[in-house]
Parts: sequence; C-alpha cells; structure tokens
Amino acid sequence: MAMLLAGCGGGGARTLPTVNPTQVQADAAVVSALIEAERTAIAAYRLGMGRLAGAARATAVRFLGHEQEHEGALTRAILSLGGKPPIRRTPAAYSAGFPRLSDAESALRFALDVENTQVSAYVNALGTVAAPGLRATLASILATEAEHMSVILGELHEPQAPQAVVTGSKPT
Amino acid sequence: MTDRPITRRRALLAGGAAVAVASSPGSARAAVDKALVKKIERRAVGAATLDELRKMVALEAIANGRLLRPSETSVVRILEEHATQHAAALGQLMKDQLGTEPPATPKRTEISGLLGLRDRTAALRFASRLEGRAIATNISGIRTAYDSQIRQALAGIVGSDAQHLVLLRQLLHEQPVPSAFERGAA
Repeated sequence: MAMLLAGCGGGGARTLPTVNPTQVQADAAVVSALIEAERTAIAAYRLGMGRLAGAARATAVRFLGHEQEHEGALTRAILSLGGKPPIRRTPAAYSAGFPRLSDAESALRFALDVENTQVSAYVNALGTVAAPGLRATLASILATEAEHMSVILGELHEPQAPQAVVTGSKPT
Repeated sequence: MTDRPITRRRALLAGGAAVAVASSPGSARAAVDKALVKKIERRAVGAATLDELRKMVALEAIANGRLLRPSETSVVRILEEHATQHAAALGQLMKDQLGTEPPATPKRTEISGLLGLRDRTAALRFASRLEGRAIATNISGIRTAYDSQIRQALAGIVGSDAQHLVLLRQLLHEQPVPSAFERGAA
C-alpha cells in the first residue's frame, strides 16, 4: 500500500504509519472470523423466525437481510485484501450448538445474545484492523448490530439503551 | 442457552487476540512522525468530544423545553445522560492520552437551530440529526485514529449513539433500522 505523505510547510515530508503486508494478512484473518460470525447470525435468525409472528417476525426478516448484506460486504472486503472467504459450512454446522428455542421469548433472547456477541467481535476487530477504510465499514456494521440489539430489547419490553457504552462485553 | 454464546464469544475474542499479535505495528511505527499522529488523533477525538458536548447541551434544552410528552422527555433524559458520560470519557481521553484539553462546552445559542424548535416532531428530528452527526464523526475518528484504545473508545460510543437513533426513530414512527450500514449523517 502506498506510503501516506503529508506535506508541511518548510519542514519536509512527514510520514504517517503505513499498512504493511503482514497487517493486510492480519486484517484478512479478522474479516474471515467476522464472516463466520455473520453466517452464524444468519443461521440464528433463520432458526428463530420459526418461533416469531407478526411484527417481531417482520423485524427478524429485516435483520436477517442486514446480516446477509454484512456478509456480502465482508466477502468483498476480504477479496480486496487478497484473501479468500472461509469455506461455507453446512447450515446444520452453524446451528449445531444453538439452544432449543421453545417460544418467541427464547428466540428473541437468543437473537439478542447473538447480536451482543457480534458487537463484541466488531469492537475487538476495530482495535486491530489496520486499513482505515475497512475500519469505517466495520464501524458502520457495529452501529447496525447495536441498533438491532436496541430493537430486540424493545420487543422484550426491556430498556432499549441500557448502557452509555456499547461494547458487547456486558450482559444485556 | 447461556453456555453456547459465551463459548462462541470466547472463540471470537481469542481469534481477535491472535490477530492483534500478528498485526502489531512494531517496526512499521519506527519511522512514524508521532507528533503528526497525535495531531490527527487530537483532531478526531476533539471533534467527537464537541459533538457529544453539543448533544448534551441540546438534549437538556429539549428535555426542559416542554415540547415533548412525558414519556418522550424520559427518553431524551437518558440520551442526555449518556451524552454527558460520552463527553466526559472522551475529554479524559484527550487529557490522559493526547495531552490536551477538551473543547469547551458550547452555549445553547451556539447550537444552530436549537432555539428555533417549536414542536415535538421538530425537537425529536433535531435530536436525531445530532445523534446521526455524532455517529458520522465517531466513525471518521475510528477511520483516522492510529491508537487502538482510542478507536475502541469511539466504537463503544458509536454503538450507544446508534441505539439512541433507534429510540428517536421509534418516537417519530420511523423505521428504527433503515439500513444495514449505519453511517450517521455529516
């Protein structure tokens, strides 16, 4: 990646940190893990929708679409980094360890847990990813996952913005 | 139900930790102009702090302005409290890590459009615009900051501000999550 140079009057060129090949590879590894997290979320919403009806189901359908868009964006990102998306596992492999969802509430609580885990993964990724443009994409996805959490909390009749800092590391 | 997600989260975090070691800047930082990096980070965190201070002042004015219903006022009070915490955390970050004072808290008269609000819809839309602007500023900061702690601090605030947007959109009877990519609005 090209070295970033910022001119400054009279003092010659100043050098800013660059993204080296090792960091590009590391970024690709982070994105690969996030793709798998999105696929897990997609599987969770597909499973949970069966227990939901009405507005809650419509919300789940919408959020499922968002997770699919996230997976698509991350797939494009990993390709642009010269990496390859992880091999897609079978649907059963993604849902193998999911809890038994007996009713709407258990489906919503599981969706909330999945979103909380997602937020934690994106916050963690933003601490390590070196490419600025990729960080902006990850931050916009993080914001959307936090929004999903808020809506799900509302469906559960719980406070929708319970914390001033949303890192996914605190229980919801 | 509880065991599995924790395990999955641990796996994700462990993966991230491994990546953090692999991507440690190390020698790449050796030739870096640290003063310029600090300058860029001061600008980014300063802008984020100012947006949170602006929200803090505006949300307090809106909550006290008798334009909203009681239930709406309660929501705006929560948002104001969070904005206060965000501004304090970012201000401390500026002092401790960037060696500079945070920007001054703006006066109500310095917040364009605030004093002209005449009804609840206008007030809620105004609050929504401020939250959107803060998200955009924070994402811009995440893009430009080199320090991982600064980026993660901004990320936690982005998540919170995004949840504020959901609350305001619901009060306005708008779609709470209209896009798969929340970028706020500049």
